[in-house]
Amino acid sequence: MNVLEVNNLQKTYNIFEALKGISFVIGKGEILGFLGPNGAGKTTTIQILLQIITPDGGDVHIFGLDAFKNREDVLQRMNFTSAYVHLFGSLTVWENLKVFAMLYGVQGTKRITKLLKEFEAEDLKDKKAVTLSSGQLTRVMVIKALLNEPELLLLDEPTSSLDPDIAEKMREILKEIHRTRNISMLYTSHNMAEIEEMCSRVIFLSHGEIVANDTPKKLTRLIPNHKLRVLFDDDPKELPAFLKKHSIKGKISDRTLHVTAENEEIPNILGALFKAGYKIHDITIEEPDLEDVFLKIAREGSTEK
Amino acid sequence: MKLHRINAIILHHIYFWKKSVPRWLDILYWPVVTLAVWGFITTYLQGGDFQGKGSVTIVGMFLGGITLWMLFQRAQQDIAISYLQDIWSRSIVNLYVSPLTNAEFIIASILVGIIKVVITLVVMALMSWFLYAFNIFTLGFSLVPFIALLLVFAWALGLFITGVVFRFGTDAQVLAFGASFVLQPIVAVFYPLSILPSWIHPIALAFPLTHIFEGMRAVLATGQIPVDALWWAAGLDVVYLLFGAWFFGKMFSNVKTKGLLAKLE
Repeated sequence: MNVLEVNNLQKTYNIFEALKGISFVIGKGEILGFLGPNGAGKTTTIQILLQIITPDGGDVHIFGLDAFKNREDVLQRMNFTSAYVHLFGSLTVWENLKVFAMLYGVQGTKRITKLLKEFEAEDLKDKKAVTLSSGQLTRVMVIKALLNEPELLLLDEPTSSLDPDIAEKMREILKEIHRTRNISMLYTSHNMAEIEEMCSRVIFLSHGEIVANDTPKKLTRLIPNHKLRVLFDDDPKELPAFLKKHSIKGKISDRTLHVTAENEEIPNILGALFKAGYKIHDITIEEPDLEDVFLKIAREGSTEK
Repeated sequence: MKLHRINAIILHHIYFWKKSVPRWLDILYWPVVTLAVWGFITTYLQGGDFQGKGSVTIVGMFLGGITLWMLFQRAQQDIAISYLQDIWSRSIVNLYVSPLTNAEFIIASILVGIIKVVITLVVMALMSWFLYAFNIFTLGFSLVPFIALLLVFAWALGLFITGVVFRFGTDAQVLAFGASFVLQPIVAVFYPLSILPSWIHPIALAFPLTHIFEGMRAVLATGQIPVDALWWAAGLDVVYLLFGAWFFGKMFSNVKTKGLLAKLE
């Protein structure tokens, strides 16, 4: 059963069409990456799911319930964290978590204590929220988001502002939570490597439309170009003429040839270089990653173009 | 509606309130200072006669007016400030992505507001008694409906102002602190309605406050509760409360349609 079903969701602000009828689902236990350039409609979609924005059209079913007719029931079973939303600044971390725990009907303080320990944030509990560093705040926000043991978690850049080691720890905890409790997650991040690591499927939004919806692996296959780097033993003085002769588009710098080419062309390029007698010291071939997909979509709007 | 969510917001307000110097000033300092200044001025104008003949009516009317006015102002500001403090700290989104409803937030704010009003009333009553030998409880049981009607209008106005703040953001926050002062000259807080120019009378009588303060003076002067004044105030309260709730709901819905809730600051 799908945990979330979004059907033909539309939103227009004055004349700006933020969402042009998007539809997608999140299955039970699935982590869906939600990507797109700024202004693509990610935040609007998340805020509609959280019911702080009213859509113009379309419907949303969460846990099989019409989300707009069952707001309290639905929000009770989900939670949200964002790098851009704050806690109550003058309250301590403990006081903040106590208030949110009560809002979700979580009895006692056992759960708060457990999460603070799990996230190594026990030393923060008496600090005022306003005094937290952005990394500490992000950690406490994730603790807040897990207070009610949600079945659906909306994570808006959960590791932004974190030091790499803490970000890694955060991802490990989220993966562990996902593994043990089978929580469904909608995950946005500007860190493409993180999305590839965390998400089983990715949706790309551009100009209010879904332009790609697939596994990270399949999405990268949509980008045909690989990055080839060839480091020569000596300065390859006649290389420009060689490239021109073989119609290879490349750049040369510091004894290195940089070429972006389709996977099938690479053996031919390397074969020609060997045949021409160039002494090659090292070869690197980089496969396209989500970053390349993101850049292509940001530039062109779709992987189809 | 869930009790645990109302309790959560009450706890949130108490945590906030206990460490907020400006909020303690609102509850204790300003009412005390206002009472002291107005009380001494009135006594001076009366020739220093604290307890002499006639002091109950003139000083008493002033002190009764100030006390009720401070309670009204306190309660009116409470709802709007409850929302504003979460807008200022940019935490309001965290509240509204939880199952919390507006009704729960408002009920919790009102309950905390009542505690603050009781504290303010006790402090002002004690001060009136010690400094001016005026007992606000001279009003007897009539004090209860007067204060209740006063609070209902304060909450209705608070809802209206919060609606405006939601729609126009913190640019409109001055209303939370200043709206009551717009009403003060015309609702006969410190002087009878008859002092005002006759063309203002219909405007003044359209507010429950005028009936409440006129009623308070009638009790002090005659010892009789003017039932008509209470009924008028109650009827107008219902109208204002319904309008305040409708306006708040309309503005909240408008803010959700325009996607402004997360952008409020």
